[in-house]
Amino acid sequence: MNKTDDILERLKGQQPMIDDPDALTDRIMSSLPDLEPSQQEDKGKAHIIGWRWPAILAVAASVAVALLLVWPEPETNRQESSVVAHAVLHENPKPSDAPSETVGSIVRKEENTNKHSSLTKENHRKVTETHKIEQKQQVSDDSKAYDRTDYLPFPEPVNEPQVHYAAIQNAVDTIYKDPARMDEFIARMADFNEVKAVPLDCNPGSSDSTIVSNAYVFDGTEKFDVFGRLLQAACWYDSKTPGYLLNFSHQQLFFTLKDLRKGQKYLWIAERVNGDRILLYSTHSPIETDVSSSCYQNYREQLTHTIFSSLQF
Amino acid sequence: MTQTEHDIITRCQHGDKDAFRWVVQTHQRMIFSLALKMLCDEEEAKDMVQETFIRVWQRIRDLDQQKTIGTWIYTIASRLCIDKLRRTNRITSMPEDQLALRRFASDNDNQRTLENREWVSIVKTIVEGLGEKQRLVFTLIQLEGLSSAEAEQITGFDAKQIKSNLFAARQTVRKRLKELGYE
Repeated sequence: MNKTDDILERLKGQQPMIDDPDALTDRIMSSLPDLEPSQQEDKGKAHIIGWRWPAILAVAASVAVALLLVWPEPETNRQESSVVAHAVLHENPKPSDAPSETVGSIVRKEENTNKHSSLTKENHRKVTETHKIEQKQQVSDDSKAYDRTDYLPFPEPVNEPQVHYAAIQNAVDTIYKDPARMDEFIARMADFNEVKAVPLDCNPGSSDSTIVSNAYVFDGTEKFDVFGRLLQAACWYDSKTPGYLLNFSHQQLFFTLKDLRKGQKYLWIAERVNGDRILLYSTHSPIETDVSSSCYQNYREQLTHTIFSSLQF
Repeated sequence: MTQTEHDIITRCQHGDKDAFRWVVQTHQRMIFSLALKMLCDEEEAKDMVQETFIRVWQRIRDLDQQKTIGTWIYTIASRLCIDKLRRTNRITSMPEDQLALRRFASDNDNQRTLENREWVSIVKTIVEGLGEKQRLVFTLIQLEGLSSAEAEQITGFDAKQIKSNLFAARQTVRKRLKELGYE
Protein backbone atom coordinates (compact mmCIF):
# COMPACT_ATOMS: atom_id res chain seq x y z
CA MET A 1 0.00 0.00 0.00
CA ASN A 2 1.46 3.36 -0.93
CA LYS A 3 1.58 6.34 1.40
CA THR A 4 -1.48 8.06 -0.07
CA ASP A 5 -3.66 5.01 0.36
CA ASP A 6 -2.27 4.51 3.82
CA ILE A 7 -3.18 8.05 4.84
CA LEU A 8 -6.69 7.76 3.43
CA GLU A 9 -7.21 4.37 5.00
CA ARG A 10 -6.11 5.58 8.42
CA LEU A 11 -8.43 8.55 8.23
CA LYS A 12 -11.40 6.42 7.27
CA GLY A 13 -14.01 6.10 9.91
CA GLN A 14 -12.25 8.15 12.59
CA GLN A 15 -14.56 10.65 14.20
CA PRO A 16 -13.47 13.89 15.80
CA MET A 17 -14.53 14.34 19.40
CA ILE A 18 -16.79 17.05 20.75
CA ASP A 19 -14.87 18.56 23.66
CA ASP A 20 -18.00 18.94 25.77
CA PRO A 21 -20.91 16.99 24.31
CA ASP A 22 -23.26 17.78 27.19
CA ALA A 23 -22.71 21.49 26.74
CA LEU A 24 -23.44 21.20 23.03
CA THR A 25 -26.57 19.17 23.73
CA ASP A 26 -27.75 21.78 26.25
CA ARG A 27 -26.98 24.55 23.79
CA ILE A 28 -29.02 22.82 21.10
CA MET A 29 -31.89 22.03 23.44
CA SER A 30 -32.06 25.58 24.75
CA SER A 31 -32.18 26.98 21.24
CA LEU A 32 -35.03 24.79 20.06
CA PRO A 33 -38.13 26.76 19.28
CA ASP A 34 -41.43 25.48 20.56
CA LEU A 35 -43.17 23.61 17.82
CA GLU A 36 -45.44 26.30 16.49
CA PRO A 37 -49.05 25.87 17.42
CA SER A 38 -49.69 27.43 14.03
CA GLN A 39 -48.60 24.13 12.55
CA GLN A 40 -51.30 22.45 14.53
CA GLU A 41 -53.56 25.37 13.80
CA ASP A 42 -52.81 25.07 10.11
CA LYS A 43 -53.73 21.45 10.27
CA GLY A 44 -56.90 22.44 12.12
CA LYS A 45 -57.64 25.15 9.59
CA ALA A 46 -56.96 22.77 6.76
CA HIS A 47 -59.38 20.41 8.39
CA ILE A 48 -61.95 23.16 8.80
CA ILE A 49 -61.46 24.23 5.20
CA GLY A 50 -61.70 20.61 4.26
CA TRP A 51 -65.27 20.32 5.45
CA ARG A 52 -66.28 23.97 5.12
CA TRP A 53 -66.14 24.19 1.34
CA PRO A 54 -68.33 21.17 0.70
CA ALA A 55 -70.72 22.50 3.33
CA ILE A 56 -70.83 25.92 1.65
CA LEU A 57 -71.34 24.30 -1.73
CA ALA A 58 -74.10 22.10 -0.31
CA VAL A 59 -75.86 25.13 1.21
CA ALA A 60 -75.47 27.08 -2.03
CA ALA A 61 -76.87 24.16 -4.00
CA SER A 62 -79.85 23.79 -1.68
CA VAL A 63 -80.55 27.55 -1.87
CA ALA A 64 -80.38 27.33 -5.65
CA VAL A 65 -82.81 24.43 -5.66
CA ALA A 66 -85.13 26.29 -3.29
CA LEU A 67 -85.01 29.38 -5.52
CA LEU A 68 -85.78 27.30 -8.56
CA LEU A 69 -88.77 25.80 -6.80
CA VAL A 70 -90.04 29.13 -5.49
CA TRP A 71 -89.11 31.10 -8.60
CA PRO A 72 -92.20 32.17 -10.53
CA GLU A 73 -92.99 30.53 -13.79
CA PRO A 74 -92.25 32.54 -17.00
CA GLU A 75 -96.02 33.02 -17.47
CA THR A 76 -96.35 34.61 -14.06
CA ASN A 77 -93.30 36.68 -14.81
CA ARG A 78 -94.95 38.08 -17.90
CA GLN A 79 -98.09 38.87 -15.92
CA GLU A 80 -96.06 40.70 -13.34
CA SER A 81 -94.32 42.61 -16.12
CA SER A 82 -97.66 43.68 -17.49
CA VAL A 83 -98.78 44.74 -14.03
CA VAL A 84 -95.67 46.81 -13.68
CA ALA A 85 -96.24 48.28 -17.10
CA HIS A 86 -99.80 49.01 -16.14
CA ALA A 87 -98.74 50.82 -13.04
CA VAL A 88 -96.27 52.79 -15.10
CA LEU A 89 -99.04 53.70 -17.46
CA HIS A 90 -101.07 55.03 -14.55
CA GLU A 91 -98.23 57.18 -13.44
CA ASN A 92 -97.53 58.39 -16.96
CA PRO A 93 -100.83 59.59 -18.41
CA LYS A 94 -99.89 59.14 -22.09
CA PRO A 95 -101.45 55.83 -23.01
CA SER A 96 -101.09 56.35 -26.76
CA ASP A 97 -97.43 57.22 -26.63
CA ALA A 98 -96.14 53.74 -26.65
CA PRO A 99 -92.47 54.57 -27.28
CA SER A 100 -92.43 57.15 -24.48
CA GLU A 101 -94.23 54.63 -22.29
CA THR A 102 -91.57 52.21 -23.16
CA VAL A 103 -88.90 54.79 -22.47
CA GLY A 104 -90.63 55.73 -19.20
CA SER A 105 -90.91 52.16 -18.16
CA ILE A 106 -87.34 51.58 -19.13
CA VAL A 107 -86.29 54.63 -17.12
CA ARG A 108 -88.39 53.46 -14.20
CA LYS A 109 -87.00 50.02 -14.56
CA GLU A 110 -83.51 51.45 -14.63
CA GLU A 111 -84.33 53.47 -11.52
CA ASN A 112 -85.71 50.33 -9.96
CA THR A 113 -82.64 48.50 -11.07
CA ASN A 114 -80.42 51.22 -9.63
CA LYS A 115 -82.40 51.16 -6.41
CA HIS A 116 -82.19 47.42 -6.45
CA SER A 117 -78.48 47.52 -7.13
CA SER A 118 -77.91 50.11 -4.40
CA LEU A 119 -80.06 48.01 -2.11
CA THR A 120 -78.11 45.00 -3.22
CA LYS A 121 -74.83 46.80 -2.52
CA GLU A 122 -76.16 47.89 0.86
CA ASN A 123 -77.28 44.36 1.57
CA HIS A 124 -73.99 43.05 0.31
CA ARG A 125 -72.14 45.46 2.62
CA LYS A 126 -74.32 44.40 5.55
CA VAL A 127 -73.90 40.78 4.66
CA THR A 128 -70.15 41.27 4.35
CA GLU A 129 -70.03 43.04 7.72
CA THR A 130 -72.14 40.33 9.28
CA HIS A 131 -69.89 37.75 7.71
CA LYS A 132 -66.81 39.54 9.05
CA ILE A 133 -68.33 39.68 12.53
CA GLU A 134 -69.15 36.01 12.25
CA GLN A 135 -65.62 35.31 11.07
CA LYS A 136 -64.23 37.28 14.01
CA GLN A 137 -66.48 35.35 16.36
CA GLN A 138 -65.37 32.18 14.66
CA VAL A 139 -61.71 33.16 15.06
CA SER A 140 -62.20 34.15 18.68
CA ASP A 141 -64.08 30.90 19.23
CA ASP A 142 -61.22 29.06 17.55
CA SER A 143 -58.63 30.88 19.62
CA LYS A 144 -60.67 30.10 22.72
CA ALA A 145 -60.67 26.51 21.65
CA TYR A 146 -56.89 26.59 21.25
CA ASP A 147 -56.53 28.45 24.51
CA ARG A 148 -58.53 25.77 26.14
CA THR A 149 -55.96 23.19 25.12
CA ASP A 150 -53.55 25.01 27.44
CA TYR A 151 -55.69 23.94 30.34
CA LEU A 152 -55.88 20.36 29.29
CA PRO A 153 -54.45 18.29 32.08
CA PHE A 154 -50.97 17.02 31.25
CA PRO A 155 -50.96 13.25 31.37
CA GLU A 156 -49.64 12.05 34.66
CA PRO A 157 -46.55 9.86 34.45
CA VAL A 158 -47.71 6.32 34.74
CA ASN A 159 -45.59 3.76 36.49
CA GLU A 160 -46.02 1.18 33.80
CA PRO A 161 -43.01 -0.88 32.85
CA GLN A 162 -43.63 -0.50 29.12
CA VAL A 163 -43.47 3.31 29.21
CA HIS A 164 -40.38 4.49 27.39
CA TYR A 165 -37.64 5.86 29.59
CA ALA A 166 -37.83 9.19 27.78
CA ALA A 167 -41.20 9.67 29.49
CA ILE A 168 -39.71 9.37 32.93
CA GLN A 169 -39.04 12.69 34.57
CA ASN A 170 -36.28 12.64 37.11
CA ALA A 171 -37.42 14.46 40.18
CA VAL A 172 -34.05 15.36 41.67
CA ASP A 173 -30.56 16.39 40.74
CA THR A 174 -30.88 16.37 37.00
CA ILE A 175 -29.32 19.78 36.54
CA TYR A 176 -26.10 18.99 38.36
CA LYS A 177 -23.18 20.28 36.37
CA ASP A 178 -19.77 19.63 37.71
CA PRO A 179 -17.93 22.95 38.26
CA ALA A 180 -14.67 21.09 37.68
CA ARG A 181 -15.58 21.03 34.01
CA MET A 182 -14.79 24.70 33.88
CA ASP A 183 -11.24 23.84 34.93
CA GLU A 184 -11.12 21.10 32.31
CA PHE A 185 -12.23 23.58 29.70
CA ILE A 186 -9.57 26.06 30.81
CA ALA A 187 -6.92 23.35 30.71
CA ARG A 188 -7.91 22.45 27.16
CA MET A 189 -7.98 26.07 26.14
CA ALA A 190 -4.53 26.56 27.64
CA ASP A 191 -3.26 23.46 25.90
CA PHE A 192 -4.65 24.66 22.61
CA ASN A 193 -2.89 27.99 23.02
CA GLU A 194 0.25 26.35 24.38
CA VAL A 195 -0.09 28.20 27.66
CA LYS A 196 1.22 26.48 30.76
CA ALA A 197 -0.54 26.48 34.10
CA VAL A 198 1.48 28.14 36.84
CA PRO A 199 0.63 26.60 40.22
CA LEU A 200 0.29 29.23 42.92
CA ASP A 201 0.77 28.50 46.59
CA CYS A 202 -1.91 30.61 48.18
CA ASN A 203 -1.45 29.42 51.75
CA PRO A 204 2.28 29.25 52.25
CA GLY A 205 3.23 27.55 55.44
CA SER A 206 -0.10 25.88 56.01
CA SER A 207 0.72 22.96 53.71
CA ASP A 208 -2.97 22.72 52.90
CA SER A 209 -3.02 20.60 49.77
CA THR A 210 -6.77 20.93 49.38
CA ILE A 211 -6.40 24.41 47.94
CA VAL A 212 -5.52 24.25 44.27
CA SER A 213 -4.68 27.50 42.54
CA ASN A 214 -3.36 28.03 39.07
CA ALA A 215 -2.61 31.02 36.91
CA TYR A 216 -2.52 31.19 33.15
CA VAL A 217 -1.28 34.00 30.99
CA PHE A 218 -2.95 34.09 27.58
CA ASP A 219 -2.10 36.17 24.60
CA GLY A 220 -4.75 38.90 24.69
CA THR A 221 -4.71 39.72 21.02
CA GLU A 222 -7.90 39.38 19.07
CA LYS A 223 -7.03 36.14 17.35
CA PHE A 224 -8.27 34.15 20.33
CA ASP A 225 -11.18 35.53 22.31
CA VAL A 226 -10.36 34.31 25.83
CA PHE A 227 -13.09 36.31 27.53
CA GLY A 228 -15.64 35.16 25.01
CA ARG A 229 -14.67 31.51 25.44
CA LEU A 230 -14.72 31.76 29.22
CA LEU A 231 -18.06 33.46 29.17
CA GLN A 232 -19.40 30.80 26.84
CA ALA A 233 -18.25 28.10 29.24
CA ALA A 234 -19.61 29.98 32.26
CA CYS A 235 -22.98 30.38 30.59
CA TRP A 236 -23.28 26.63 30.37
CA TYR A 237 -23.99 26.65 34.11
CA ASP A 238 -27.44 27.39 35.33
CA SER A 239 -27.71 30.61 37.30
CA LYS A 240 -29.39 28.58 40.05
CA THR A 241 -26.21 26.57 40.58
CA PRO A 242 -25.04 26.99 44.18
CA GLY A 243 -22.59 29.81 44.62
CA TYR A 244 -23.22 31.09 41.11
CA LEU A 245 -21.87 34.58 40.64
CA LEU A 246 -20.85 35.90 37.27
CA ASN A 247 -19.55 39.36 36.42
CA PHE A 248 -17.90 40.09 33.16
CA SER A 249 -16.83 42.75 30.73
CA HIS A 250 -14.43 42.80 27.83
CA GLN A 251 -11.62 43.46 30.29
CA GLN A 252 -12.55 41.27 33.23
CA LEU A 253 -14.42 38.14 34.21
CA PHE A 254 -15.26 37.00 37.71
CA PHE A 255 -17.02 33.69 38.20
CA THR A 256 -17.72 31.57 41.27
CA LEU A 257 -19.48 28.27 41.82
CA LYS A 258 -19.97 25.81 44.63
CA ASP A 259 -20.13 22.06 44.34
CA LEU A 260 -22.28 20.88 47.22
CA ARG A 261 -21.74 17.26 46.28
CA LYS A 262 -18.01 17.42 46.65
CA GLY A 263 -17.97 20.26 49.16
CA GLN A 264 -15.81 22.44 46.95
CA LYS A 265 -15.94 26.10 46.02
CA TYR A 266 -14.52 27.45 42.80
CA LEU A 267 -13.33 30.85 41.74
CA TRP A 268 -12.11 32.10 38.36
CA ILE A 269 -10.83 35.57 37.70
CA ALA A 270 -9.64 36.72 34.31
CA GLU A 271 -8.41 40.18 33.60
CA ARG A 272 -6.40 42.01 31.03
CA VAL A 273 -2.95 43.03 32.18
CA ASN A 274 -0.36 45.11 30.40
CA GLY A 275 -2.82 45.63 27.59
CA ASP A 276 -1.90 42.60 25.55
CA ARG A 277 -2.04 39.73 28.07
CA ILE A 278 -4.92 38.08 29.87
CA LEU A 279 -4.25 36.70 33.30
CA LEU A 280 -6.57 33.91 34.34
CA TYR A 281 -6.60 32.80 37.94
CA SER A 282 -8.35 29.60 38.89
CA THR A 283 -8.72 28.20 42.39
CA HIS A 284 -10.82 25.63 44.16
CA SER A 285 -10.85 24.51 47.75
CA PRO A 286 -13.16 23.01 50.37
CA ILE A 287 -16.14 25.25 50.99
CA GLU A 288 -15.27 26.00 54.61
CA THR A 289 -11.63 26.86 53.86
CA ASP A 290 -10.57 30.49 53.74
CA VAL A 291 -8.38 31.19 50.76
CA SER A 292 -6.12 34.17 50.65
CA SER A 293 -6.03 36.11 47.43
CA SER A 294 -2.59 37.51 48.17
CA CYS A 295 -0.82 34.97 45.99
CA TYR A 296 -2.91 36.01 43.02
CA GLN A 297 -2.33 39.68 43.76
CA ASN A 298 1.39 39.10 44.08
CA TYR A 299 1.51 37.27 40.82
CA ARG A 300 -0.48 40.00 39.19
CA GLU A 301 1.88 42.61 40.58
CA GLN A 302 4.77 40.69 39.12
CA LEU A 303 3.11 40.66 35.75
CA THR A 304 2.32 44.34 35.72
CA HIS A 305 5.51 45.69 37.25
CA THR A 306 8.28 43.37 36.23
CA ILE A 307 9.75 42.40 32.96
CA PHE A 308 7.37 39.98 31.43
CA SER A 309 10.00 37.67 30.02
CA SER A 310 11.54 37.14 33.45
CA LEU A 311 8.47 35.40 34.75
CA GLN A 312 8.29 31.68 35.03
CA PHE A 313 5.48 30.17 32.96
CA MET B 1 -35.94 2.03 12.18
CA THR B 2 -36.13 0.15 15.45
CA GLN B 3 -39.20 0.15 17.65
CA THR B 4 -37.38 2.31 20.20
CA GLU B 5 -36.48 4.87 17.56
CA HIS B 6 -39.99 4.76 16.25
CA ASP B 7 -41.40 5.47 19.71
CA ILE B 8 -38.98 8.31 20.28
CA ILE B 9 -39.72 9.92 16.93
CA THR B 10 -43.42 9.67 17.63
CA ARG B 11 -42.88 11.43 20.95
CA CYS B 12 -40.78 14.10 19.24
CA GLN B 13 -43.52 14.62 16.70
CA HIS B 14 -45.83 15.38 19.60
CA GLY B 15 -43.42 18.06 20.78
CA ASP B 16 -41.62 16.08 23.49
CA LYS B 17 -38.24 17.78 23.95
CA ASP B 18 -36.97 15.14 26.37
CA ALA B 19 -37.31 12.57 23.64
CA PHE B 20 -35.60 14.90 21.21
CA ARG B 21 -32.68 15.23 23.61
CA TRP B 22 -32.08 11.53 23.05
CA VAL B 23 -31.99 12.13 19.28
CA VAL B 24 -29.49 14.96 19.74
CA GLN B 25 -27.25 12.97 22.08
CA THR B 26 -27.27 9.98 19.77
CA HIS B 27 -26.49 11.77 16.54
CA GLN B 28 -24.65 14.97 17.42
CA ARG B 29 -21.20 13.42 17.21
CA MET B 30 -21.63 12.08 13.69
CA ILE B 31 -23.02 15.42 12.54
CA PHE B 32 -20.17 17.25 14.24
CA SER B 33 -17.73 14.93 12.51
CA LEU B 34 -19.26 15.62 9.11
CA ALA B 35 -19.47 19.36 9.73
CA LEU B 36 -15.90 19.63 11.00
CA LYS B 37 -14.56 17.79 7.96
CA MET B 38 -16.69 19.83 5.60
CA LEU B 39 -16.25 23.28 7.12
CA CYS B 40 -12.79 22.88 8.67
CA ASP B 41 -13.63 25.02 11.67
CA GLU B 42 -14.59 23.68 15.07
CA GLU B 43 -16.85 26.53 16.13
CA GLU B 44 -18.59 26.64 12.77
CA ALA B 45 -19.03 22.90 13.00
CA LYS B 46 -20.75 23.26 16.37
CA ASP B 47 -22.97 26.01 14.99
CA MET B 48 -23.80 23.72 12.10
CA VAL B 49 -24.73 20.89 14.47
CA GLN B 50 -27.00 23.27 16.32
CA GLU B 51 -28.61 24.55 13.13
CA THR B 52 -29.08 21.02 11.85
CA PHE B 53 -30.93 19.90 14.96
CA ILE B 54 -33.10 22.99 14.97
CA ARG B 55 -34.12 22.12 11.40
CA VAL B 56 -34.67 18.51 12.39
CA TRP B 57 -36.89 19.60 15.25
CA GLN B 58 -38.87 21.96 13.07
CA ARG B 59 -39.45 19.30 10.43
CA ILE B 60 -39.72 16.25 12.63
CA ARG B 61 -43.39 15.95 11.75
CA ASP B 62 -42.47 15.53 8.10
CA LEU B 63 -40.19 12.57 8.81
CA ASP B 64 -41.26 9.47 7.03
CA GLN B 65 -40.81 6.79 9.64
CA GLN B 66 -39.91 4.27 6.97
CA LYS B 67 -36.57 6.07 6.64
CA THR B 68 -33.67 5.94 9.04
CA ILE B 69 -33.51 9.06 11.16
CA GLY B 70 -29.72 9.06 11.01
CA THR B 71 -29.77 9.24 7.22
CA TRP B 72 -32.37 11.98 7.35
CA ILE B 73 -30.32 14.06 9.78
CA TYR B 74 -27.23 13.49 7.65
CA THR B 75 -29.17 14.75 4.62
CA ILE B 76 -30.17 17.96 6.38
CA ALA B 77 -26.64 18.51 7.68
CA SER B 78 -25.11 17.84 4.25
CA ARG B 79 -27.34 20.39 2.59
CA LEU B 80 -26.60 22.99 5.22
CA CYS B 81 -22.87 22.34 4.88
CA ILE B 82 -23.03 22.69 1.08
CA ASP B 83 -24.97 25.95 1.44
CA LYS B 84 -22.42 27.21 3.93
CA LEU B 85 -19.49 26.25 1.69
CA ARG B 86 -21.07 28.08 -1.23
CA ARG B 87 -21.37 31.24 0.87
CA THR B 88 -17.89 31.20 2.35
CA ASN B 89 -14.55 31.66 0.76
CA ARG B 90 -12.58 28.77 -0.61
CA ILE B 91 -10.81 26.81 2.11
CA THR B 92 -7.06 26.82 1.60
CA SER B 93 -4.40 25.13 3.64
CA MET B 94 -1.49 26.90 5.30
CA PRO B 95 2.05 25.55 5.73
CA GLU B 96 1.28 24.59 9.35
CA ASP B 97 -1.66 22.52 8.13
CA GLN B 98 0.68 20.61 5.86
CA LEU B 99 2.96 20.02 8.82
CA ALA B 100 0.08 18.40 10.70
CA LEU B 101 -0.45 16.03 7.79
CA ARG B 102 3.26 15.28 7.71
CA ARG B 103 3.25 14.43 11.43
CA PHE B 104 0.22 12.21 10.96
CA ALA B 105 1.73 10.44 7.96
CA SER B 106 5.01 9.78 9.72
CA ASP B 107 3.34 8.58 12.92
CA ASN B 108 3.43 4.81 13.14
CA ASP B 109 0.73 4.66 15.77
CA ASN B 110 -2.36 3.64 13.82
CA GLN B 111 -4.56 3.83 16.88
CA ARG B 112 -3.77 7.44 17.69
CA THR B 113 -6.87 9.60 17.93
CA LEU B 114 -6.55 12.84 16.09
CA GLU B 115 -7.37 16.05 17.87
CA ASN B 116 -9.90 18.33 16.26
CA ARG B 117 -7.36 20.93 15.19
CA GLU B 118 -5.31 18.16 13.58
CA TRP B 119 -8.39 17.00 11.75
CA VAL B 120 -8.99 20.51 10.48
CA SER B 121 -5.42 20.86 9.25
CA ILE B 122 -5.31 17.46 7.57
CA VAL B 123 -8.66 17.80 5.86
CA LYS B 124 -7.83 21.33 4.76
CA THR B 125 -4.65 20.04 3.17
CA ILE B 126 -6.00 17.02 1.37
CA VAL B 127 -9.32 18.32 0.08
CA GLU B 128 -7.98 21.56 -1.32
CA GLY B 129 -9.25 21.99 -4.84
CA LEU B 130 -12.32 19.78 -4.54
CA GLY B 131 -15.73 21.09 -5.56
CA GLU B 132 -18.60 20.99 -3.06
CA LYS B 133 -20.22 17.86 -4.43
CA GLN B 134 -16.95 15.97 -4.75
CA ARG B 135 -16.04 17.10 -1.28
CA LEU B 136 -19.35 15.91 0.18
CA VAL B 137 -19.13 12.50 -1.46
CA PHE B 138 -15.46 12.15 -0.53
CA THR B 139 -16.17 13.13 3.09
CA LEU B 140 -19.13 10.79 3.45
CA ILE B 141 -17.51 7.73 1.89
CA GLN B 142 -13.78 8.18 2.32
CA LEU B 143 -13.60 10.01 5.64
CA GLU B 144 -16.84 9.01 7.38
CA GLY B 145 -16.69 5.48 6.08
CA LEU B 146 -20.27 5.30 4.81
CA SER B 147 -21.29 3.00 2.00
CA SER B 148 -22.13 4.21 -1.49
CA ALA B 149 -25.76 3.27 -0.92
CA GLU B 150 -25.92 5.40 2.21
CA ALA B 151 -24.25 8.28 0.38
CA GLU B 152 -26.88 7.96 -2.36
CA GLN B 153 -29.67 8.24 0.20
CA ILE B 154 -28.06 11.18 1.95
CA THR B 155 -27.09 13.21 -1.08
CA GLY B 156 -29.91 12.23 -3.41
CA PHE B 157 -27.35 11.47 -6.13
CA ASP B 158 -27.71 8.31 -8.17
CA ALA B 159 -25.07 5.58 -8.13
CA LYS B 160 -23.37 6.90 -11.25
CA GLN B 161 -23.03 10.40 -9.82
CA ILE B 162 -21.65 9.04 -6.55
CA LYS B 163 -19.13 6.92 -8.41
CA SER B 164 -17.97 9.68 -10.72
CA ASN B 165 -17.71 12.28 -7.95
CA LEU B 166 -15.81 9.90 -5.70
CA PHE B 167 -13.47 8.89 -8.50
CA ALA B 168 -12.73 12.50 -9.42
CA ALA B 169 -12.24 13.44 -5.76
CA ARG B 170 -9.82 10.59 -5.16
CA GLN B 171 -7.85 11.50 -8.26
CA THR B 172 -7.57 15.11 -7.11
CA VAL B 173 -6.56 14.09 -3.59
CA ARG B 174 -3.91 11.68 -4.89
CA LYS B 175 -2.54 14.37 -7.16
CA ARG B 176 -2.53 16.82 -4.27
CA LEU B 177 -0.72 14.41 -1.96
CA LYS B 178 1.76 13.61 -4.68
CA GLU B 179 2.52 17.29 -5.03
CA LEU B 180 3.19 17.38 -1.31
CA GLY B 181 5.66 14.54 -1.61
CA TYR B 182 3.55 11.54 -0.69
CA GLU B 183 3.81 8.65 -3.11
